[in-house]
Amino acid sequence: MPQNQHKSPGKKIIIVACLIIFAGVIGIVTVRWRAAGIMQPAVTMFKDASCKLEQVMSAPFSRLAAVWDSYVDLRSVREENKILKVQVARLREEIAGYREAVIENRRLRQLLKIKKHLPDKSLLAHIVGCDLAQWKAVVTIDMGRKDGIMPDMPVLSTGGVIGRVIETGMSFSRVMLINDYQSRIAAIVQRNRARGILAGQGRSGCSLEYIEKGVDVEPGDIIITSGMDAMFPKGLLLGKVISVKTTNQSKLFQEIRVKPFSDVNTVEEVLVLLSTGLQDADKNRPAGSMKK
Amino acid sequence: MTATLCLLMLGYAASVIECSASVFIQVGLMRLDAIPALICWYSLRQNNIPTGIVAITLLGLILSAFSTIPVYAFPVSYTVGFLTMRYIAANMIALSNWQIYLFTGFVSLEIIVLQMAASGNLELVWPWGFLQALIDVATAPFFYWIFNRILTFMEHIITKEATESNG
Repeated sequence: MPQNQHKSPGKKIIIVACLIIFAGVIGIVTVRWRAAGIMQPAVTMFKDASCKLEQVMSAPFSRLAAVWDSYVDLRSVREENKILKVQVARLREEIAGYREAVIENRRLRQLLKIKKHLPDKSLLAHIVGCDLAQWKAVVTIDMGRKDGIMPDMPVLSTGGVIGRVIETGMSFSRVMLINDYQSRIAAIVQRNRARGILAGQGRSGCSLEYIEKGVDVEPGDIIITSGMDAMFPKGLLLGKVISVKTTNQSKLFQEIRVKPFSDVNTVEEVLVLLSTGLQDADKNRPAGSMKK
Repeated sequence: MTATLCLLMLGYAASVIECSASVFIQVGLMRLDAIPALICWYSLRQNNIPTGIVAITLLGLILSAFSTIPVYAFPVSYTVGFLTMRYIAANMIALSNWQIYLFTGFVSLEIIVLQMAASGNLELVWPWGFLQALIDVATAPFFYWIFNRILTFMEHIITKEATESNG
């Protein structure tokens, strides 16, 4: 049995009273010393030592807590990661869509600028396909007879003339590009008005043919439509001369290479000139009169 | 019959893909072209020549809708290709795979020459026609593998349906 239980109640009261008095004295002394700043260095040292100890003691616990948290977090992170991956993919798609829209907007603005300068009515169309024969520079556009497109209508892009309509369906048309081997357009050199025929040369561009050797044509000269073919209005941009060869004695004409202003390999939207004035002239001409 | 159905379906699908995705599959005047391989593949499976000619002509007429070259060019060139491959197959015993692929290139060149002549671009046969034929030889194993898989799949479906209708 513990000895405390044998102490009398009077002694207990005395012990408690002594403890209270002792605590009171210590309290008063502490308050006084604190007020006087005597205990401050000791208190600070004690706190510092305690903090160090806390630090040392807490390290293994915090590591353990970190491991536990990581384990708990890992379970949710995996799920979160999946969701985030899906979100990233969706956002990437959205960004690609916005970027595409911005590029398309830029192209359409350029086309709109051209459209404003054109005297005739025109129609915007998208290129949706190309010819099954890979050597043919023929593309399919998403507008046809129901939109008012007819064969031989000129087709333009941001750089100038890109081709002409050769076949129409109800909701599609085929456009022969100016670099097709069968394409021929009546053209003139803008600087000196020398007349020739712009012939397609496949992916390498075009050539200006039937320009005699004495005619002054230089690289950099601008080639425009002459309007002599009764298909293209006069003055539309075709391309720029990139090289002139006159050295071949056996040939009567100069060999002139022309680079089309329109990038025929990358174009996506085109303008179809619905009325060129030339067709209106044909309509207004009295029956039986000679076509000029 | 399944092979003929396969020919028409795959021919149509291939031409749609080629026309719409030419930007990605064309370099210069060369393109990933499945049609010569398809014709040769069909020739090796179709022993009945009249049926084969009718099917190939039909395919040619369908595909001519995708091009501006003269309408007769496709049926004629494909039929010539079919008959050439048939003749080779009938006169050789146990054709090995590499020989088949080589003959595919030869038939491809034949088809290209005829089509280019019909469209007035015969001068492009060298080098573009030859390069296209080389590409067709290189890609023939891949296309033959795909065609075989699709034929097996179609035969499986047809057999299954026939079994179900009988049962």
